[in-house]
Amino acid sequence: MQDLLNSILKDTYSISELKHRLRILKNYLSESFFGGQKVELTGVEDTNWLKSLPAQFFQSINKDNIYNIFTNLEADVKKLTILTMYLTFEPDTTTISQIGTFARKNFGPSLLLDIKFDPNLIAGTALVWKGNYQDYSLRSKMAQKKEEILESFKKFLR
Amino acid sequence: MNIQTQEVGYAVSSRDFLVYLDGLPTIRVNDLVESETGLRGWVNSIFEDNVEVLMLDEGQVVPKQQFKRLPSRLGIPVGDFLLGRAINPLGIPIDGKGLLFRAKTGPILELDQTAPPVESRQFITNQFLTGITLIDTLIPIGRGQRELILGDAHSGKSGFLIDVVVNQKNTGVICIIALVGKPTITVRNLIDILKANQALSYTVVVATSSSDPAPLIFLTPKTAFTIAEYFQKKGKDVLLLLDDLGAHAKIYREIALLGNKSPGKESYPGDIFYQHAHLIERAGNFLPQAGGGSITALPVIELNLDDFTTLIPTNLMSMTDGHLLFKSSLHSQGQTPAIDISLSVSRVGRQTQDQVSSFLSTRIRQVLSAAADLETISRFSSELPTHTQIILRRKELILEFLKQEPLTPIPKQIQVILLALPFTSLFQDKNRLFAEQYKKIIIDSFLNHPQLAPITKSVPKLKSDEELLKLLEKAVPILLKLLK
Repeated sequence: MQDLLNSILKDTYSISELKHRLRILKNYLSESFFGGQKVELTGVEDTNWLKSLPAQFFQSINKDNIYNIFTNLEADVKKLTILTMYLTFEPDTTTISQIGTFARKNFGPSLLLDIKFDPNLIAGTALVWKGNYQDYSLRSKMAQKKEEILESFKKFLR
Repeated sequence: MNIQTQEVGYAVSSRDFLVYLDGLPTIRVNDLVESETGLRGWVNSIFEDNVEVLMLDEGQVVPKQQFKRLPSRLGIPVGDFLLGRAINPLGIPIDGKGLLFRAKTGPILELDQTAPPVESRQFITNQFLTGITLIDTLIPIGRGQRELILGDAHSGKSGFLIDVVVNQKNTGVICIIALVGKPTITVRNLIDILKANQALSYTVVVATSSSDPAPLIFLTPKTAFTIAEYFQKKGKDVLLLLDDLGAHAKIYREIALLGNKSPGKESYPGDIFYQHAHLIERAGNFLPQAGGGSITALPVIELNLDDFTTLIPTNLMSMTDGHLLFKSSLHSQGQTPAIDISLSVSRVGRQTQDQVSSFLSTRIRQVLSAAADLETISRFSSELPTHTQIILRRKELILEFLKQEPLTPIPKQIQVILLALPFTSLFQDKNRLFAEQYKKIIIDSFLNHPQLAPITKSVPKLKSDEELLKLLEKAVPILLKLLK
């Protein structure tokens, strides 16, 4: 089970992406095992990702264990450590994978990112790690130096 | 507040006002959390993988919504500025009189406090005077006692409570009234009545209306007790009315059932006894080192058709020091207050009563019980022995003197005199109608008449009811002249 999850996590860095990929994988496998409606893949990325999965990955899944495997996978996903990141922009896949690689290298191999959009931060980021919110954004820096900033603005008042 | 570091949690699931959060590593029960949209909630319980929060504000909680831990815990600012005001359980004024305080803020006290231990309490020795003859003489209440008020709808409970509060004028007693989930109009009316009777200046009203969120209604008695404790710790005697704990129990049942707690008797959760006992234990008479004041608590329960054998009334009867049973049947017969004397009890008040009142109340109880026995027999015969007639007449006279119109307090000494009069020769050949007709004149005479007023003044010095009767016997000729 862990091998399966590791193969999926290999180049999946965010929780939303992981959930999306698990869904399309489940749909794809159900379709190939049981037939029915054809899975509509949303983009080339999804197709490429499915192709990139190793051959052993598919060998271990069959008609009889598919539902069990996915139930266990979903339970395992809930146990993964998540680093929530508040950003002021919507990052593209490359940026997410860059951040993800860096974070996994430093904090743990199976870490997942939860990217949230918060324009109020102005610039920079705020992180939530194990329930603790750390604000490294420009907003918090400005709030810290509010007095100094106001003081320097006052110089220009006539 | 350090905005750089904060504890946060994310909504995992929600059901009505109940939200489960993931995160918040060092959260404690009764901590406050706030969502991004400004909805506040308080932590009710903590599980291994999530935190149960009860929402205090109404609004929509969406999945993965972020909740921040607030620096303050569940508490309210307290101070003398609360007197004359009506607030909700979070200390927000609801009387439209503006901010509670402008310049200085009071200390913030947590709502959920453990009851003071036994070493900070003392024996109840002073009587809590309600100004109501029936209570002060027959079912006396002590300062620091917990007396349950039971009664069905329209039995005059609310009127009685207002009377007790209004009668505390100029006694230095602080009154706290907790209205649990009452209609808004009831809250408004109560404030208006208290104001019209100049009783608002020493009263704090803590009210939630029936349309408020359940977790907020649940907090009402806790807030009332917290305010009562503030005044008690300043050495004041506090009267606390909880109207009513039946509604409180129902709200707690709603919260518990929504939170998947297993239902027990009458679908109430297993810890409903704890919830009420935990509250009621906070009342008492305290030693000077614990503040010195007292909290006299009068929790109210509305009964369904006079039935006091259900779970919540019996629970509360077991955790209070007595109860007053109001009956709508007595109320409709014109008896105010409509208290059933034979079914009401005070387990503490007796020790606080002076000797004369104590002897007198025993004498009255004897007459009432003897009359009850004789009444059945008297129905079958037209000619009754004189002795029986006297007892039956005395009973009627006593019940007449025990009747008291709302908002007419009677001083302690006059109460004693009134109840002793049926045993004097004045009423030997007088009936109930005579008593009804001249009750007011008798009270006025004993307060103001130059020859009768000294008797009133000497009542506290008397040692027994015999002495009082002798004294009153001397006053009979004067009274007879006055009542011609």
